[in-house]
Amino acid sequence: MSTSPFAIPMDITRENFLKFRDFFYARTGIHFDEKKRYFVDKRLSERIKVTGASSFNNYFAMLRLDEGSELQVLVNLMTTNETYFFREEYQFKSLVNAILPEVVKKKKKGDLIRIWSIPSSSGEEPYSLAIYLLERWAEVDDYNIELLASDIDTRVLKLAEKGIYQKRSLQYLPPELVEKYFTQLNATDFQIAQTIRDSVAFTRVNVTDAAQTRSYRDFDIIFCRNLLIYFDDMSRREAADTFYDALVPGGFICLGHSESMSRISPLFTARKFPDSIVYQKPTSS
Amino acid sequence: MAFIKKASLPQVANDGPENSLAEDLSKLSDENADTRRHAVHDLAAFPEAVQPLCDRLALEQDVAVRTTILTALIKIGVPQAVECLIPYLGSENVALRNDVIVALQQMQQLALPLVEKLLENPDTDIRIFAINILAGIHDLHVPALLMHVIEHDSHINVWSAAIEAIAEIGTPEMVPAIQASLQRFDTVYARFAVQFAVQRING
Repeated sequence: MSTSPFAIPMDITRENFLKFRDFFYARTGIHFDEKKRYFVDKRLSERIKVTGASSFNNYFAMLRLDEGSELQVLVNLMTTNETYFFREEYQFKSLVNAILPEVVKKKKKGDLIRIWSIPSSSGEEPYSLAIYLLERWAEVDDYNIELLASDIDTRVLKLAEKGIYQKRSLQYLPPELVEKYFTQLNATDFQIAQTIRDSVAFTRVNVTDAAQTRSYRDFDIIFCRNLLIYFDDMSRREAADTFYDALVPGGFICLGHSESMSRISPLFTARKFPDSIVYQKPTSS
Repeated sequence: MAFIKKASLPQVANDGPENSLAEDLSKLSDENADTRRHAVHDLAAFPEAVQPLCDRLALEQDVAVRTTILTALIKIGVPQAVECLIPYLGSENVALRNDVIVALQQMQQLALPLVEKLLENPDTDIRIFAINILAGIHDLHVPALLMHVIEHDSHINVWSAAIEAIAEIGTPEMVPAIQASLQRFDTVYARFAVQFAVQRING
């Protein structure tokens, strides 16, 4: 996340913060409590300065009339995208040792397996999935696998498509996998192999917007880790609805280690596998 | 190694004509659960759909449709949605009742005035459910309501539910009143409940 050199203007009052917060929530489903006020005010100040709006009220008026480009800039600034390769690897273990064996029971060789990674951030998770499947799932050659990765932040999607990472992002990857799948560009940057970049499609989507997610269907597995913690109850319910529609009956959703679908929605059944707890869409109601 | 392919998304028209309110309402009783669910999705845009959605809740057997109805009612967010959900707290269907409790919690301040009134309900179960709902509503008024229950409700199970809730959201200045309420229910369980709550509040 970038840091701002700009001071917070005095005119971002608490009332202004609340006004902006409600607007931003209505448009994106992302909720900021008052503890995040400094974080929000700082980024708003940056945009007020850069756009030349000169005051919160001018900027907010512009934002409400804007067709989306300024809002997208704000979304990119307000979302956090800290991640790395093989983060929470135990879930990838669960994927190849427990989830996929169940998924393929209902398929025949050559069938399609669809996996959705959201939020994709700058690509670490979907590319990790691709590498993990290639390296650790013995049946990978027997099926056609499709990987879709989505995020609300267009800035990180561009980064994901380039696939260039710093060493810190690769620190949990075994060296032989770094050697095999990355090209060192300079002292700090590594680019992931073209074949892996070609294996993931990236899209921009707001998961709480039913109109935007209408075409996201027939996934066998969804990875949605550390996103719902940023949402309020209503947005979580809407996201759960989206995932329910997006999954095939019997499909699985993997959440972050601190997240629980059971506290969000009764739509899914918790399944305890040796390496993790995941949530499954019932095969019938 | 070319077995992993980029996923593709089917082209779906997002801007096609929406169903009318009447069309969606008629689909609430469709045989197909997916059709009912999609109708409910659309009805979340209509405050006038509150009553039909609430009525459907009594008949709906499909968990996914039921969940979507509750999500739609929360989204519509009008007092009538709270009002029409409250009778379901008396339902014999435990899953429905629990889902309604969660939905009323998620309605937050909107639910507060009507849920507060339930604290006077003659049915002890309803008073307990009201406390369960209040425990999930983030409002400065809630601790005072729970303290009132602790000091005045005559049923030990209601008192106990309030003690449990206050253990989660109480503050140290409430401790003397919590301890004093033991005079009304001095049982082994009540002493344990108060001890647990006080420890929890004092950290």
